[in-house]
Amino acid sequence: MTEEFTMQNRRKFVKNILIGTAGITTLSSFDILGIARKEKHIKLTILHTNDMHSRIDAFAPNHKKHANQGGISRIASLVEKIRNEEDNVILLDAGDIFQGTPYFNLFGGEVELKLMSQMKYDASTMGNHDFDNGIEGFNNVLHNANFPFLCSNYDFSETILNGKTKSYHIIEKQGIKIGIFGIGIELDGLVDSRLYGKTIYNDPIESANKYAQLLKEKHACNLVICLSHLGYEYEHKTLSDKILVKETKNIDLIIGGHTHTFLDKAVTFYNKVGKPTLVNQAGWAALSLGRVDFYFNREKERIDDLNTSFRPSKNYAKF
Amino acid sequence: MRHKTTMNYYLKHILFFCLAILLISCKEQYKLTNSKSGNNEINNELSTNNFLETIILPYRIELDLKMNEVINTSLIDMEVGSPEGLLGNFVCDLIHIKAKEISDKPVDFCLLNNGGLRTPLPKGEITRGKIFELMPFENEIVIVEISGKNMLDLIEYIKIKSVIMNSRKAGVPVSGLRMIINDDKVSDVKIANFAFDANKNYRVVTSDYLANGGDHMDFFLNPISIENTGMKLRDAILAHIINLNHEEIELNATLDGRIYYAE
Ligand SMILES: [Zn+2]
Repeated sequence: MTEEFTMQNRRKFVKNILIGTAGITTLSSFDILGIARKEKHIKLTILHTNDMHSRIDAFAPNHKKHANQGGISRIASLVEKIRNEEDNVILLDAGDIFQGTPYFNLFGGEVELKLMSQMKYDASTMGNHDFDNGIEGFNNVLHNANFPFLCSNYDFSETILNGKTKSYHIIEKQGIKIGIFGIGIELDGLVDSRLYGKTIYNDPIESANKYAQLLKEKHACNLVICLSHLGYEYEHKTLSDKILVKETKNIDLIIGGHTHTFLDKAVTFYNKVGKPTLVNQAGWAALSLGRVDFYFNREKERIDDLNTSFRPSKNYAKF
Repeated sequence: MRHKTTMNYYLKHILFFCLAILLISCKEQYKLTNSKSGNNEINNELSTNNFLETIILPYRIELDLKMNEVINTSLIDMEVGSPEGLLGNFVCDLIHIKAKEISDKPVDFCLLNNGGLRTPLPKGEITRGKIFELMPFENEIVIVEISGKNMLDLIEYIKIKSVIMNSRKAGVPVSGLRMIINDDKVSDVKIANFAFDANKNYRVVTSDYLANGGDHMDFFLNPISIENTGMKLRDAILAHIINLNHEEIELNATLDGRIYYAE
């Protein structure tokens, strides 16, 4: 791990020198003043899962649809590979970690949370099935998670979960501030009321707008991510991520779940004020790892094809 | 001469000040300029993660020990279906029998939901793990007494769900209840072999999830009475299958037209 870290620093160093001497960019006054550590261009890699449903191991070889596919252990290998390739990786989950294999029935979610902690998840939100052993059952295994659960519209203050989840979370990567919050689905009619107890369900659109604004304006986040367990879309007017985009602003990316929707890549929709918001979802049962890369530029002007023009080529690492 | 030097001196300061301001304001000026996305399939070309495997191993050993035990053999493939399915009939029949055993009072019929039967039962060996997959939830068996008026809503609910075709959500699994659906009309409703009487109350065995209005079964809300058995559906299914095995009876189910859709 340490070795890798050194390699990455070295790569960046080599990159800076090469850029300087090649004259691609002239050394700015910032560099002279010793502030050169601030990169002009920063790439942020968001990796995400949803509805893993206790799929620790791959599906059985005799499974009709997904034989030998999926599994958290395999996702971990891919995440590790990407962490070795990219400098700024954030790993998130959009809920329904629990329920679906006997691992959950026998161990109550302990294994899932231990593995996600080991994988260095940065945050998750709660899906409806995360209530399947009741709030008490969730609380009993929560200590296995070293990452926060973000629940912005579930009010747990009258329950034993009071103070154990967060409304939002801010991560900083190379000076980029990423604000994250979580929107849960209506529990009434979906989850047995005895399981969610005195949880209060707050309006998802109102809550989303409130926390997105707080993160973008008060906390000056460069990127705002909503972890949503509302579902991608429905035939009827039921609230979905697609509708959430239209009713909100200040959200850059919605990482969705619940509908087990497989997407090839994130889809762009336009929010209340006409700005683009990405919506992504990664199927279910650890069958897919979602990925969105964001590029930030310290200058104001828009640079269009950052990916090809500024991504350090793999060759640099060999120096 | 002296005047000019002072000017230079001030100019320098002003310049430096401006530069400082510029630097401070530049600090937070990272702008999102572009994005790229591509999701990755998790297939068997990816290896498992060694460190995670060491965490999983002790749990897997315990789990395999419990779950891989073969508890009986099924003579047929059982799947959910609409207006009736082998799996729904199999599970409802056994839950109905179980409820009659547990309760002191008669139990008229059983009603569950196809959405709660999470996996088909394949022909051949049935392991304990398979039943956990079929019924992963911790839901308990309850017996709900509802009015004839609410029964009308229940019958309507079954009708609506039964005319939906080709959907995982279609159909309502039952036992002890029969009806014919003909051109959007329901006829010949029989409960426990007697013609349905809208002036009577009925005792229905179901899951606590549905009794609480799950799957929009609103007709269960505000019941006349509710009897909690404290027995999990899964435990009842496991016990039944294990008992049959002791009696050397293999698993079987038939379609008997209990919900009959006459086109
Ligand atoms: Zn869900």
